[in-house]
Amino acid sequence: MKLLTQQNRFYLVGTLLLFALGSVGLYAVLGYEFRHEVDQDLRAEARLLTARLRAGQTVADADGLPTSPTLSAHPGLSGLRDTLLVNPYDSAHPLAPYRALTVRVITAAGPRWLTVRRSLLEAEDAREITLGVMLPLMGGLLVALLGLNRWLSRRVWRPLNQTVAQLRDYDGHRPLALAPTDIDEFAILHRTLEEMSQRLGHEYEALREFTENAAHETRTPLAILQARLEQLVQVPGLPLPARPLLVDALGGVSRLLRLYQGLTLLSKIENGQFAGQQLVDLGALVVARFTQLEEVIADKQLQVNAPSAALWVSMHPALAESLVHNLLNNAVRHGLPGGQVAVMISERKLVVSNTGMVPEAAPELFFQRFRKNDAASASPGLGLSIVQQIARLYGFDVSYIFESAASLHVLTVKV
Amino acid sequence: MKVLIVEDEPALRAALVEYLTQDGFRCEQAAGYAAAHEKVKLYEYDAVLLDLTLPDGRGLDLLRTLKADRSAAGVLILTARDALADKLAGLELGADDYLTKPFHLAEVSARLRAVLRRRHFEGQPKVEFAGIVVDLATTAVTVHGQPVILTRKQYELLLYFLAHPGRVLTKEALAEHAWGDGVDAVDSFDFIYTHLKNLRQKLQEAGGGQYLRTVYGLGYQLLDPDA
Repeated sequence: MKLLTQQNRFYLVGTLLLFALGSVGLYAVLGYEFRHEVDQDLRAEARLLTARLRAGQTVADADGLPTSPTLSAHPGLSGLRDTLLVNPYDSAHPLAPYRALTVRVITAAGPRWLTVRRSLLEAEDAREITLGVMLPLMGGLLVALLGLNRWLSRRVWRPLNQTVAQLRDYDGHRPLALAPTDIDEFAILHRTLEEMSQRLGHEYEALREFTENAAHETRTPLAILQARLEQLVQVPGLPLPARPLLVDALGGVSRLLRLYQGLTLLSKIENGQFAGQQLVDLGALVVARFTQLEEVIADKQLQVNAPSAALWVSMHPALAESLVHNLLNNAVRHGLPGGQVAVMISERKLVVSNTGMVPEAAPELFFQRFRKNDAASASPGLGLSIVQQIARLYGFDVSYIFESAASLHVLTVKV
Repeated sequence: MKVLIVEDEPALRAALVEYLTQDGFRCEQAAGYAAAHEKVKLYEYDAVLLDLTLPDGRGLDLLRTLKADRSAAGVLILTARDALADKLAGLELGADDYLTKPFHLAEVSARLRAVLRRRHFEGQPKVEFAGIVVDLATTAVTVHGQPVILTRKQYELLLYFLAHPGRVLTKEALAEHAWGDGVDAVDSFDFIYTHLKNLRQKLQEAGGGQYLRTVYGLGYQLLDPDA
């Protein structure tokens, strides 16, 4: 969830809760206040009437309206209470809530119980009117606050969002240059990130330079060795016993070269030196590779089953090629003469299989570097490591199983 | 054909000079940037073999100088660095071809010849050797006037041999030339034998005699059967 969404969500829930509590609170407080007011009025009236009664005046109006004070000789319950009385004003609601106060008054004629009453309907109405004004006002305020908060958050977090966007595209090769900000926390974050990226950049450069130098320092002597040996091949009348020695030496040079190329490729992938992706059709690469291997396949009498299908993947073109080459080279190289090599492409899957010998170890072990089934093979045993490393770089899933029933080696790449 | 070999490694330079001289090139050499720069300013070359990493300067700068001078020389880059960026930069600057060390000497020679052919197209785009004529434009092959139909790989192998008459070519060099990194898919280079046998047979059937000889324990060579 986005930071902003999260914040807005909490804010909305919080304010709604506060709004609800506030409304309930307001309702209760208003109710209390109005009742208190009524009680005060009743007490004042009772005091006034008590004084009049004591002075021998009469108080009771005989108009029979509920609000008229009544005087009774019967003992009544003294104090304040809520009561329902017949409402003479509104026939739709025959009973209306009233507040009543009864006090005992000693008059000349003996003790009397004076009761005064006030309608609570007015208080209710006043409360409703007040709430009717206050609640929309509070609601409007709430919406305005939400909007303000949204706008403010977006503004305040904008540098962070920009930084996140820049980090997402960051390849770890060059130092980051983040936009300056006058917010202290972001400034610190930017400085820290820039320093880290500088270190990363240095390390990347150092490793890149190292592989380049290693390339130069390894390839030059190999070139001398190979060139000199090839000159030796041209020497007329080379003694017969010397010839196999020479050919073996040349073979050694080319094995070293292949080993070296594999290792450099692996370290380059690890160092992230294959930046940049584009859409590549692995299906087309498979077809092209099979065409290139045509004669080799014919020579081994392999049956190739590879219905052409497209499989578009976003990756570095050189690595896509390397992935397909290694998978197919592996299948052709280890396929039994006269056996089958199949490539199946489905939705998001590339499956390469070949009939072959029972592996000497668990298939997944062949993803390890230098792991070969035939230790005497001239191949450096890096092909599947390269496949795995490329897959790891792009988050593909590679698996290798041996189906013993059909004696089939199956490599599956889920892209 | 005059070729300038710019390579700082003495042993490699010597190997290139000796091999290419035997292949009929007139070779001059420069051990560093300064010497090479002086030479390309003073003399005209048909081709320059250029090492990119020189002790006293960058090979790519030399390439820039050549292009700025509108030199007619073809440029074949030799490099020990396998960075893709270098390769692209070199080709963008106008280099004709690119080889990564280590290389087969025969490959250098063949590429050099191809560069020169492309550069000096005025001449007939034909390769001839003792009755074999290959028309590079149409890829038609004749032996003593008799047309010979070759597969793509056989054609490539024949051209490679024709670039090096008399040279002993190892199975490995032949396979790598015709199949590139496809050779990673094979455990031995013996499969080359079938293709050479068929090529030899086709040349022979066209009345050409034994052009391709097996050099015991080493490889194969193209020889004039009548010589």
